[in-house]
Amino acid sequence: MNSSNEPQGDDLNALVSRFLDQTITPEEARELDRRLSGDPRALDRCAEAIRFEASMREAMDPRRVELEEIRRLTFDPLSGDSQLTLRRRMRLGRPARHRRRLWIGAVLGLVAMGSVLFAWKRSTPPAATYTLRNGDFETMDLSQSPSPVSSSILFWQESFSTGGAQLCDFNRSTDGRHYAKSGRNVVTLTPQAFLNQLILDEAGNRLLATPGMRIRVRGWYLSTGATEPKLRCSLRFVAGGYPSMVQYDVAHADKDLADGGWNEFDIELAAPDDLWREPSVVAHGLNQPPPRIDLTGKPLTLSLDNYSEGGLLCLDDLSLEILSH
Amino acid sequence: MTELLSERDFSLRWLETEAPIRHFLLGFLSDRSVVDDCIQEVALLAWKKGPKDASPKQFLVFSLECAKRLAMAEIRKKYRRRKKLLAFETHVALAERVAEMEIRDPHGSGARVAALRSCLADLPPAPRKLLELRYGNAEPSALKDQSRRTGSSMDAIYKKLERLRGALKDCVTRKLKHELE
Repeated sequence: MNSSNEPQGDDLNALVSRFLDQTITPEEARELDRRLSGDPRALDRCAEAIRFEASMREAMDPRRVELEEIRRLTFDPLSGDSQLTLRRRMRLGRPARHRRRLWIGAVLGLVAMGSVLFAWKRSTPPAATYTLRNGDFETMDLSQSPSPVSSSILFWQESFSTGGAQLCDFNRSTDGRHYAKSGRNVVTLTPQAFLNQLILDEAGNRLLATPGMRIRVRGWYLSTGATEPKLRCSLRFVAGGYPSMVQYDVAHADKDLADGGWNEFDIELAAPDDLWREPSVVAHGLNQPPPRIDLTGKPLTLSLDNYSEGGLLCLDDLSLEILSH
Repeated sequence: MTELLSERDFSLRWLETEAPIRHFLLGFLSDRSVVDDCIQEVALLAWKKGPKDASPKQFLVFSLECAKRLAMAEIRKKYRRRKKLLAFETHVALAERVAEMEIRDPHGSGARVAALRSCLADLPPAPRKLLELRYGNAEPSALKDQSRRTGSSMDAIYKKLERLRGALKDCVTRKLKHELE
């Protein structure tokens, strides 16, 4: 049915407006549907209105777009060919409405806490949220890479790295025998290999050691081929990197693991009240032994070490929670 | 090195394409986070399967086609639970029409939005505030709160919005026409 002769006046505008404002009734929607399906001019007008609606939203609530580009160059000395793969990820700015909610939440929280703070006669800054960056290891897309493994693990291994830790497109690298706990990627650790990350809040501020602080680390592991698989989870202050490596343990806990299949782990780390500590890891050949120091206020790094004998330890979906600080 | 150059071309091409894609999606999807997700999806599809060596227009056509499919998939999801939507075929016809308009637009979505911002800047505070409640960074219930505060019915508020949109549309048309002359 072609109803090109139907009036194109205010009634169509009103229907389109009500459709865009999402106030249209089912009867009106049926009427608009009939007009649009039978009349190309009505379709054009509605399409124009949709475009204007988009312009309005863009003009009044603009969004910042961030682009993050990851490049990885593989050079094969045998063939002499360089093979460049480029993976690209877009990270879009956080929705402004969420920001406003956060602000409103923060303001309400501060107001509610006001009386308590007044009673204590001291002010406390709002609690920062510390999270692991790339805890699910999906930030890097290996799906288009010729190799299913990569030595670079984004946001991890800032203090130290080891050849025994690799990012891995798990299903591809195991020829379909295993799947990641979520997404495609996991990190694999050979015996004595480790994974570490400086703990930061959303603003990039470092988590500082305080006496008695408690932290929970959760995640999933899959251990294959190890006789007595064990994971050590530590909070450390890294005083010096290679070659003069010096590290101090603020807290650590060992977890005996089960071999085979994905299993969840939940480890709580508690710092002692006295944070005067001897170094726990020291590089060989230092001229002077590092001193005992007070770790209060020192930035903390989370370290996950594979203490298994043999086999391979895979980690996925790691998260961190500050229980008290 | 050829591949590297084409990757660079992709980056430049995508920078030109992202605005009309976003413009297109915003017309169909009300949830900004869904729009963001769709843009990411279009970028990934264009990156993996897009005609990298094609002209900017061909690249835009490909990307709009991806955006159209993603938008329609989102609308199909909504269609299962909402009654106030048009027939799915009508949405598809509208999406095709909007995509054609985006491609043929002599001004581009950037110039259109810039002209609109300039028109908005000339508005008195009260109508501008109302538009901000509808289109800006406000809670979904903001218009209802405004209705309670001012004692106007929701119907009257939506009528006012319709009139404001009409006036702004005329203003944008005038500005763009002036720009062409």
